[in-house]
Amino acid sequence: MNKSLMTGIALAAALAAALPGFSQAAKAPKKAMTAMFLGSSQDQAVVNIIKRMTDKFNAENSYNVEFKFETYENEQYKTKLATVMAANSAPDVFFTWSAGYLKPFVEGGKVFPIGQLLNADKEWKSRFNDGVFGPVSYGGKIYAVPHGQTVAVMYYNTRLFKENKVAVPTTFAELEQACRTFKAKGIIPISAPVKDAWIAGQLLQQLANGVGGMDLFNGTVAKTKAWNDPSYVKAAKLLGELVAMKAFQDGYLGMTYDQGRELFTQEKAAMFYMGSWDIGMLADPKVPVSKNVGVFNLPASDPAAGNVAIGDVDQCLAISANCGDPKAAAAYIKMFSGVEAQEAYAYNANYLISTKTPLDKAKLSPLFLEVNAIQKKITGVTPWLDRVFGAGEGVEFNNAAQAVIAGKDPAEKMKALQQFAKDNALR
Amino acid sequence: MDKFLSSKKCILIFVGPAFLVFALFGLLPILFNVALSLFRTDLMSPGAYVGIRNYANLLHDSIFLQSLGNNLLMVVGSFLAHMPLALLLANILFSKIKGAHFFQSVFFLPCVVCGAAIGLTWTFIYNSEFGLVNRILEALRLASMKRQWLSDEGTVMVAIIVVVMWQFVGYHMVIQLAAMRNISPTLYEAAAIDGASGWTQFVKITMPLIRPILKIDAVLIVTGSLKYFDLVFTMTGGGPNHGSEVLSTYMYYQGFRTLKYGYASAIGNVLVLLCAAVIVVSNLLFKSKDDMELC
Repeated sequence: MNKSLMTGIALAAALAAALPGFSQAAKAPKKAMTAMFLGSSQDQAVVNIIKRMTDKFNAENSYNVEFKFETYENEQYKTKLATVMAANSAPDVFFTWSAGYLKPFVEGGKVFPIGQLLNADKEWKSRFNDGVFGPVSYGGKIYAVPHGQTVAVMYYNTRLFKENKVAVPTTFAELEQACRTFKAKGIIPISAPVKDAWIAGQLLQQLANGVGGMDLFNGTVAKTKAWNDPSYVKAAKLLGELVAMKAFQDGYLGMTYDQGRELFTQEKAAMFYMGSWDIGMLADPKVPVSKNVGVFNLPASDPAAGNVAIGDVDQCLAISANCGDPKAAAAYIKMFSGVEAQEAYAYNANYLISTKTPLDKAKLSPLFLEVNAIQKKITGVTPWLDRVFGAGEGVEFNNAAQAVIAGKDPAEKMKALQQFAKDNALR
Repeated sequence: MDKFLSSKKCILIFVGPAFLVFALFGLLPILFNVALSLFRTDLMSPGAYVGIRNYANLLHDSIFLQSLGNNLLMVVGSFLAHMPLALLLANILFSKIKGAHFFQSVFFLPCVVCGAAIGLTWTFIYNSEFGLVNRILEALRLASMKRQWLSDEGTVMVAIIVVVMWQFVGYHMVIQLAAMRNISPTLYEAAAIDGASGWTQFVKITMPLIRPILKIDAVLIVTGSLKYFDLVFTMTGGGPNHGSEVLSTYMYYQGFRTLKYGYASAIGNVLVLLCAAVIVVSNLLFKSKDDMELC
C-alpha cells in the first residue's frame, strides 16, 4: 500500500468521524429563553401578535435560541414581575409600563440598558417616532422599547348627540351643559365605572390638565407643585360638580370597567372617557355602538391650559439584567417594531403605533383614524400619574379621586394625598 | 419500648425532620422578616438601615391605623358569630333534633369552599344594580336602605364581616359540637333526674367541660380574623380608598405594589406580635388548673 493511499484512507476516516459530529452540532438543542407579557382576555389581538412573532423568531433566528412566553392579567402581572425581580429570576424579556413603573427595577440594576444595542443598530432606532424613548429613559440611558402609543379620549355616541341636538363640546361649560341635556332626557351622560380607582384617577387627571395644563404636570413631577395645589383642588371640585349634577350612571361607584364600557357599547351612555386601547372593542361591528362612535378631547375648563391630554407610550419591552444572551433578546424585541408586527398592532389590535411604519388607511377603522387625528392636535401629553409616580403616590392619587367621586370633600382629600406623599417618602 | 421512645436520640429522630421543615419555612422567614423590617428596601437596590423608623412611621400612617381598626372590627364580628352563635347552633344540634346531621353538613359547607370563590359569589350578591341584597330590600319595600355595599366606605367593612361570620360559623360549630359529644351522657341523665333544666345543664355541665376547647377555638377565631386575607382581597382588594384594608392586605399592598418590603415586613411583624399577644391574653383569661397551655 502506498503512502498516498494510506493518507487518503486516514482522511476519509477522519471525515467520516467528523461528519456525525458536524451534523450533531447542527442539531444542537436550542437554548431556551423566556419572555413575560401582559395579556388579559381583552388583549387577545396583542397576544396573537406575540405568538406570531415568537413562532417566527423561533423558526428563523440565527442565535439558536427558542423563546417561550407567558401572559398574565394586569394585577397578576404586577405581582409576578415584582416577585421575580426581587428574587433575581426575571425572564429574559418582559413587558413593562413606562416611567415610574420601570424606575425601581432600573435603579435596582435589574434591567439591561437596551439603548446600547439600539444605538448600535441605526436601522432599528430609525424606525421609531421622535420622543417615544423619553418615558423609558433613565439617567440618559434607554431601558425599554415601546411598540405602541395610547391617548385618553372622550368617546361619544354620535347618534345620541345628533338626536338630542347636542354639539360636540369645545369648552368645559358646554360639556356640563351637554350632561344636563342628556340627564333631562333620561340618558346617562358619562359612563364612569370607578370601582377600579384608576378610572377615577384618569378623569381627575384630565380635569387637572384642563385647569393647570403642562405647567401643573411638570411642576408635580419636579415636586415644585404639591398635590393640594389650588389647581388640583379646583380639578377635584369640578369632578365633584359632575357628581352633583348626576353626570354619571346609577351605581357608578360599584361598577367595573367592563360593565361601564357596556353601558356605552349598548348605547345607554352618551360619553365614555377611556384610553385609545378601547378602539378595538368600540369599533367591533358586533357592538351596537360601533357605527356611532366619535371622539373629542375632554375640553379644558381654563382655555389657557391648552389642549392637553393624557397619553403615554405603550407595549414596552425590556431585557432583564440576568439575561444570558442580550443580543438574541434584542433581536427578538426588534421583531415587534418590524412592519409585520406594527401593521398587526394597528390593523388587528387597533393600537396607535410608535414607529414610522406607513399604514394603509383603508385597513384602519374610522375610529382609529379619528383618534389619530385628535392625537395630532394635542399640544401636550401627560402620562398617567400612576405610571409616573408608581404604586405609592400614583395609586393614592387614584384613591383620592375615587373618594372625591364618592362625595368626599375635594380639598380635604387632596390635602391627605399630599400628607401621604410626604410620609411615603420616608418609608 | 418506652425506654427507647423516651431517649433523647429517639425524640430527636422523630422531631428533627418536622422541626427542620418548620424552621426552614416558619422560623427563618419570621427572623428574616424581623431583620428586613429594620431596612428601607425594595429588595433590589441596596437597602438603607433605618432602625425602628419603619415601626415609628406605622404609628403615623392613617391607612395602617385604619387597617388595624378594621381588623379589630373583624375580630369583634367573628367572635360574636363564632362563639355565642356557633355555640347556640352546636347546642341545638347536640340536643338531637331531627335532621341534625343534615344541618351540620349544611352549616359546615361554606368553610370547605375556597375563599376566592366565596368572595366572587358575595360580590355578586352585594352588587348594587343586580345583587340579591338590594333586590330583597326592594321586594320588602325598603328601597331607601339600598346601598352600594362594597363601594361605600361606610358599609364595606360590615358587608365583609357578615360574609366572614357566615363562612366560618359552621367550622366553629363543628369544633364545639365535637367537644360536646365527648361529654358522657350519664352526666346529663343524672342532672335530668335531679331536675336540672336545659339551661342549667348547659351552664353547669356543657360549658365547664368544653372550656379547654373553647379556649383553643377563641384563639383560632381571633388569630384567624387578624390574618384574614383572601376574602377581602377578592371582594374589594382593600378598597374603596383603603376602606376595607386589613393588615394582611395592606402588607401585600406595601410589599408587592409599592415595593416597600421593609415597611411591609414591619406590618407583618406587628401582625405576628398581635397574634402572639392574643394567645397570651387568652391563656390568662381561660386559665385553670386542668387547661392545656397553648404556648
